[in-house]
Parts: sequence; C-alpha cells; structure tokens
Amino acid sequence: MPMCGFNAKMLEGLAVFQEGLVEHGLHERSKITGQTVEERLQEELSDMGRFSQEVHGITDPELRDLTIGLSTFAKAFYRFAQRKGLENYKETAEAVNAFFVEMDRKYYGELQGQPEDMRKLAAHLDEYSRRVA
Amino acid sequence: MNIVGGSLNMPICGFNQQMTEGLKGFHNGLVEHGIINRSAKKNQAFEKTIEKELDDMTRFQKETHQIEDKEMRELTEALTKYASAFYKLVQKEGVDKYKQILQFLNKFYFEMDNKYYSELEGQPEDMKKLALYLNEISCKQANYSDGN
Repeated sequence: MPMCGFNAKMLEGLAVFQEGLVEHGLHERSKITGQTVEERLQEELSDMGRFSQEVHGITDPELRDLTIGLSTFAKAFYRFAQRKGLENYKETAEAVNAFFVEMDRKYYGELQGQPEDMRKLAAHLDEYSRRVA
Repeated sequence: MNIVGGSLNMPICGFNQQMTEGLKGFHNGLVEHGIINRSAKKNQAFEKTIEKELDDMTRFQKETHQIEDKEMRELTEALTKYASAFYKLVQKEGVDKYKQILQFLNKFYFEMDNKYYSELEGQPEDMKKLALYLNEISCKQANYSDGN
C-alpha cells in the first residue's frame, strides 16, 4: 500500500494494538478506576485531546509526528469502535485491517504507476468505506 | 531500560505489553518488508526505496480528504503520518540501526507511560509537563545508535 506495503506481521501487530486499546485501555482501566467503560472512553478521548494541544513541545520532528500519529490513530479507533458498538471491537479491528488490505490491493494490484494514482486510490477508499463502515 | 512483562498505561490510549509487541511487529514490518525486502526485489538502494515510499505517502496525504467517513479518514491519515515519521527517523539514523530505533521507541513510549501515571496524572498542566518531559528525553537520546 502507498504508505509502506503491508505484510501479515504488520497486520497482526495492528490488530493486537487495536484490540489492546479496548481490552486494556478501556476494560481493564475502567475496573482499576471504578468507572464504566463509556466513562473511561470519554476520559481517554479527553486526555488525548488535551495531549494533542501540548505535543508541539516535542521539538524532534520525527518523534513529534510519531506521537501525534499514534495518538490520533488511537483516538480515531476509539471513536470508530464507539460508533460500531464497543462490544464489537474485534470485528471493528478486523474491518479497519480489511480497509488497509483493500488499500494495498487496489494500489499495488491496479493503480501503481497510473496518472493520478493517489487521487483514484482515495476515491476508491471513500467508496469502499461507504460500503463497509 | 527494557519493557519486560507487566502492564503499561499511557495517556494516548493505555498501553500493555501485548500492544507494545503489536507495535514492534508493525515497526519491524515497515523496515523489513517495506524497505529491505522491497529494495532487494527492485534491486535498488534502501535510500531510494525510502524516498519513493515517502513521496508516495506525501502524495497520498494530499488526497485523503476525499474519504468522507471521518473515522476511516483519520485512521488512514494517522497511520500514514506515523509510517512517514517512522521512515524519516530510519532515514536519519540509518536502516542498519533500525533495531536500536525500535528499542528506543519502546523506551520512549514506556517513559511516556511511566511519567504520566507515576507522577503527572491529576496535576495541573499534566499534558504540558508530559510533552516537555518527552522533549527532554528525546533530546538526551538523539543518538539512537547507543541503544541506551
């Protein structure tokens, strides 16, 4: 895919990370803090929002972008999992991975080297996300 | 400092060992699959492969606004931004040092977790202090090759 090309190890790593966001970040943490899972989710989203306003304090550009990227990914996954129902988080993680696999397939299987390859790819992903999201 | 066993939490999500291992697998794949294997397949230098990947990601980032689903767009943009930043870090330090970079990133995320939950959580300006602390440790460890 245009961001790197995915292999099985990377997809598995992403799935584990996404599932951990819910299992550990919400379920386990809510037990520790005595909150409901929904309350924990709202606090995580609030924490990440506050953190994103301060991350400019990291002057190393790559570490700053890595931190922003990871935090933004986690926040978007929480919102998506909330929308799909938190109890369905494993299916949601699978759907996110399937989206990235489709990105890979479309780019390397069809679009790479074509004029406006990235515009076509983004348009395809928009269409794909309408079908599955 | 190694992250061995136990449970980690951090302000961007709440982290545990399994998640750290997941990220490690993703990082490994970015280098081994995305750079090393692809360079071998195309018979081109690592640097050229990285430049091509970065160029592809930059062009892609200009088009992701077309994905109307907000969460899918943000997931795509965030992962692209993350992969791009990771490749720039590998480019800066050298592909041959990627294992040290992976180790450093694990430590960086561990420090984020440790500082927040053991000291800053609940304090005024907790996130500002956290970002400043992360800046301090990133400056101290600018040379990833030492592996410390």
